Amino acid sequence: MGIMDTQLSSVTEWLASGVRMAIPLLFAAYGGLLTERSGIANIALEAYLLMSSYTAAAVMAITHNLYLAISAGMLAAVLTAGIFGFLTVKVKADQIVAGMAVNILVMGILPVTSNALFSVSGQTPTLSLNERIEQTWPFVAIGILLIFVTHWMFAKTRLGLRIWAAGENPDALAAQGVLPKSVRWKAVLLGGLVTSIGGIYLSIGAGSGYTRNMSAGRGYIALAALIFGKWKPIPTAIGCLLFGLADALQMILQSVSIFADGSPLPTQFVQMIPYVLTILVLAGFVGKVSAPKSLNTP
Amino acid sequence: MKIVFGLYEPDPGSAECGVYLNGRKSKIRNPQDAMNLGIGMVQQHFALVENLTALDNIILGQEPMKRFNVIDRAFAKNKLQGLVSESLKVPLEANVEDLQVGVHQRVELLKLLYRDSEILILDEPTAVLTPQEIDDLFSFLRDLRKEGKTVLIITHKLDELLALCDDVTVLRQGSVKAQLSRDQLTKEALVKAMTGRSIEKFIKPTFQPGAEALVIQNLTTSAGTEERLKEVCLSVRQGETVGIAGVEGNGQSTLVECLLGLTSYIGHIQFNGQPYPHKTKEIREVLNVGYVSEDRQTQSLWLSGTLEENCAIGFGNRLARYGVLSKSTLHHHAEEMLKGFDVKYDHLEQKISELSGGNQQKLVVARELKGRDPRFLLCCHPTRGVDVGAIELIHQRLVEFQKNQGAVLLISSELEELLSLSDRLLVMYQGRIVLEQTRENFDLKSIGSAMLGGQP
Repeated sequence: MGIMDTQLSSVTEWLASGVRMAIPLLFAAYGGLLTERSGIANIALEAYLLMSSYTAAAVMAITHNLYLAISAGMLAAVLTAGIFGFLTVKVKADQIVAGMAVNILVMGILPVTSNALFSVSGQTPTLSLNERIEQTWPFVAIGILLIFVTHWMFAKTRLGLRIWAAGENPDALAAQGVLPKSVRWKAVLLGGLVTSIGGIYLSIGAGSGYTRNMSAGRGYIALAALIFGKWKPIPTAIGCLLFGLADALQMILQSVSIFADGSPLPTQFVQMIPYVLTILVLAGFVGKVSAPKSLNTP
Repeated sequence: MKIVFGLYEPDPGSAECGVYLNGRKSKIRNPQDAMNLGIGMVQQHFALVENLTALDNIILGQEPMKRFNVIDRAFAKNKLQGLVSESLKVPLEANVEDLQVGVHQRVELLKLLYRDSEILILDEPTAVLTPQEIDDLFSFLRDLRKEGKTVLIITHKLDELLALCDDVTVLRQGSVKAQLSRDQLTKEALVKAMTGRSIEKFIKPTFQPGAEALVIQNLTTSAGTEERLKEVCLSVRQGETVGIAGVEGNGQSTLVECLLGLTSYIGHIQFNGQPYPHKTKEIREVLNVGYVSEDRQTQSLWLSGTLEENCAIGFGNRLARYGVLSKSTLHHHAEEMLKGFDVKYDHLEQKISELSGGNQQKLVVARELKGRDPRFLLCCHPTRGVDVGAIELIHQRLVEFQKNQGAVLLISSELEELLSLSDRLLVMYQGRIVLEQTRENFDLKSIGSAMLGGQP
């Protein structure tokens, strides 16, 4: 193999790896997009991801039934979204505080249940190869479909229009006889459902079972991608790909020799890349923020 | 009216009270009920989603549907085209944020027509419109009346009542004070019913202005600010009131922000020959500039505080001893300050939010004029949404201030107010001063067209 070929193959490898890394981000970011467009600031995406990835893996380990596992993973995230929705939509708690509470709640629940079920704290038994969804393409396909469906929903459908209005000016919606609360409920639950696919991918797609803190802050990185995409479907998807590629770069750089003695860059620095990118984006690197006007106002 | 439209629920009363429609008692629990009965309302603060198109705003809540939850926008457009007469043309595909305020109002009206409302309630519909837009609105409302629709208009502007209405009901402090039909309708009768006494037409005496106090030269703000200023020059003399007219959003707020030190600018501002400070703290505490903000509830008052506390805002350093504000100092200060401003309250430890808008505003004016005793008052929409009695008092106090050689820069959307108080009137359009007239040459027509960007 010539040097050109090696370079080419490492580039395609990087791209492929970037797409794989972007999958959970995309689902989480779109879950966030749906929720935040309705005016609910959602930092509980991390909890949705953890909950769905854990539940899918746990049900898989017990029942060995893929469909049950996927359904359970979805249901778990929707229930988590239900708790978040109860706090933010129903009793109108501060949305950031509520999101934090749900995150902490889930972080507490998981070790307890895994201890009870499998006698290990914070993880599930390793799944064998045939208990996982080995291929990546179904997730990529669903992801691409999701991009277009979401775009279409906001452009063409009644639900999309109402979610948008609920996030911009809920009073205008109320004055037209539509309860902003009911619109927001739909958006929050739908957000949980969408995010759950990302969580399921983490534990029974890319991973072989749930490991402690499986999402590793992806819920927050997804939020950064959402802000990067200015709360619009297509730019948000591009943001997810960008963060996915940064994540992939980080993994590749860990094994590339940089220094004369053949040692790579210190991993601590390399692993920082996606998080540094997140901070840059959140610090207003992307210019004028165009958040939904009624975001984070109950 | 908010009860009729179902936004508030009435307190339960006896069996006969309630809302009657065509002789039948109707139960209206929410806006949906009201709309089903053919009642529609345009609220004083428009309920529009800014970054949606006019069409989407109109159909929101009653979207015509195709399959799969898809909105049938073509159908809605057709239906609207059938409804829209020339006087109500709206660019349906444009985003609302790109349209002018007058068009916003038309979008609101179209919402009602789209829903086939028979009874149209309009709450202070002219507050934000220019004279031409008001004329358009009224001719349109007259057309609707001809078509058999019922129009209910809430306003505190007497001329509008006289120009438009068949019947007038006067409400004061929650009860009906008078019901007048067309042939009984005179200005005097209305004023008497509204205030319980007659108010003489207010004619401002003329004063001899002194030296130039505030001088602004070539004031320009950077592109980052939403309403950019472009080479604004103006001056206010001691003992002079300079009014600024213009449709809201044409740079007035930016000008105010510059004068408060909240926005950076290029250009020169001088006060009494000295450079005008840049820091808000210096402007307010050293130069002692009085400021009546455009929105008393969010910018002037601390709504969950008491009267005493609100009276002390801005005077913390002066009133505190060793960093401590004593109850009796606050009480004394508030009592002293409110004298002569006719603020109606039960006691000074009352929550400010319990006061009516007029009384809140009188307190703000008292604080900025009497409490502060400034040489220059930046006065924005001083009588927005307050009753006739409060307007009279506030205007009197402003004139007194001017008489004592105070300089006033008055920004208002009420042309009538500007015309009666200003010695000179400037019109702002898209960040520039496009017209200047002195009191003796005031010409409503050219002012109105300058506000819309036309040639004066």
